[in-house]
Amino acid sequence: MALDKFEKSHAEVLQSVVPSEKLSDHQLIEATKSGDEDAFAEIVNRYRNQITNYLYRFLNDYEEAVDLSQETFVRVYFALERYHTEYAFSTYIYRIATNLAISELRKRKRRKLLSLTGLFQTEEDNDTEFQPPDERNLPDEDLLEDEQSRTIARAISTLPDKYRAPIVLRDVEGKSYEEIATILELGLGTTKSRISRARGLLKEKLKHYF
Amino acid sequence: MNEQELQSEFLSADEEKLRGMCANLKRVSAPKNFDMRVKARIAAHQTQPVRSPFFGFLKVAAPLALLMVVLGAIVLMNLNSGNQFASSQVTASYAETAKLQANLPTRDEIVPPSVARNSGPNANAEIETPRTANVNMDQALASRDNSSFGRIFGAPKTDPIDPNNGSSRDSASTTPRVIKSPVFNQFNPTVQTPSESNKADMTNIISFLQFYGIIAISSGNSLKVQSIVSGSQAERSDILPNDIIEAINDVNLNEIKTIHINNGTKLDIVRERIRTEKTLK
Repeated sequence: MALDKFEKSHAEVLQSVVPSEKLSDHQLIEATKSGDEDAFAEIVNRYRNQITNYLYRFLNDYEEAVDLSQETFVRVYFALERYHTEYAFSTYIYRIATNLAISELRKRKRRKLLSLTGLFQTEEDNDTEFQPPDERNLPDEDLLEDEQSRTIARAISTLPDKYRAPIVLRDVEGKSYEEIATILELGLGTTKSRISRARGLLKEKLKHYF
Repeated sequence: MNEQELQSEFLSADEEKLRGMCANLKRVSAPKNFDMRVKARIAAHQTQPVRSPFFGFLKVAAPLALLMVVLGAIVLMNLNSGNQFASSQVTASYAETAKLQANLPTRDEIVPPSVARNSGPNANAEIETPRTANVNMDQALASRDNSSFGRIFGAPKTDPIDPNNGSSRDSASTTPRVIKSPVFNQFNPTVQTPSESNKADMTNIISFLQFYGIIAISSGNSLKVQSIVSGSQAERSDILPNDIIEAINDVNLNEIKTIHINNGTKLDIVRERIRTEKTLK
């Protein structure tokens, strides 16, 4: 028994002394790796709203955003062994969420191609016209937004994929250029260029507000 | 966002306003049961059976293997049916036909010495058939060529082959024609071929006589035994070259519709212009 105490990992020791709310992301991950389910629950609790909001602004579909957000955490859980601490955990989880969202958008495009209406739409139409808004009632009263907010959200959701992620990360989520570049695995110059281009496109779509 | 970074970023008034509009979008939050749903998903993933990498290979290999088995079965069936009857079509010119016929062995070359020693005017014989076969001749007519032996080797329909006279081969033409070569099936003697006639083709009768070891050629409405296969039932039954077969089981050759191959088949044979009835047992 005495030996067991010495064999406890640093994360376990910290966990036993410090409440999980005060542990860093990396410490929580180490604790999760050693089998502490509460540590992972704390990670989920810490990032669930951020990721859900990010995906909602990316996809403009709340149910889809919640679904992909949950899938993001599942992926994180099963990929923890491969996680390296060279990046911030927030960068890592946003990258997974972005990849899932892009994958979902591709699936949507394929579905759209299969639909009859999609057959008669040109690429130009896709770029300029808004996608039909999600008319379903959102489950939370707080999600009710005014008309301007909905228009902005729809305008963002009609941006091309490569511009949508950078501007959501920058102007909605407030990430730094470096962080965005790391999340999207792009160079810093490319990231800045895309954000600038995305703003130009968005301004064009929302010109009646200017 | 870092305030210092924001201030250092040069933005136009419109861009500044746009960024403010985006930043002021109301933030959504995850539903209350979010944690439970994540845990449930993780549990579901953990309870799924672990698929080995080999499974992915199997998903591709299994259908391919099945496809190969099916194709192999089809090829085997085709080969088998080709052996059964007249499935091979050969395109040959008359010149090639004449060449083939010129290379045919003569009767004396084919007839084994043992048969020659046993030849005689009275040729009653028994043939022991290894199996019983029922052949529906109604549908066993692939062509109307009387010269079945010649037809086998691609001779023209109007050019019956007389082994003693090869002059008709001079009419060979270079026009290609499609011929069918009937092959007797020893595994499934019941053979059906599409035919518009109710009469049996000499070719088929010749094929069935080959079953007994009799190599015969067409001679009008009868068949002339050209040679006997050494060691065959025909040799044991004392069937001889130059015998003329006129009827089988008391039915003239040109009226045969069905042949039952079994012990006791009767062959009406004319030997040296003497007609005798022979019972094959």
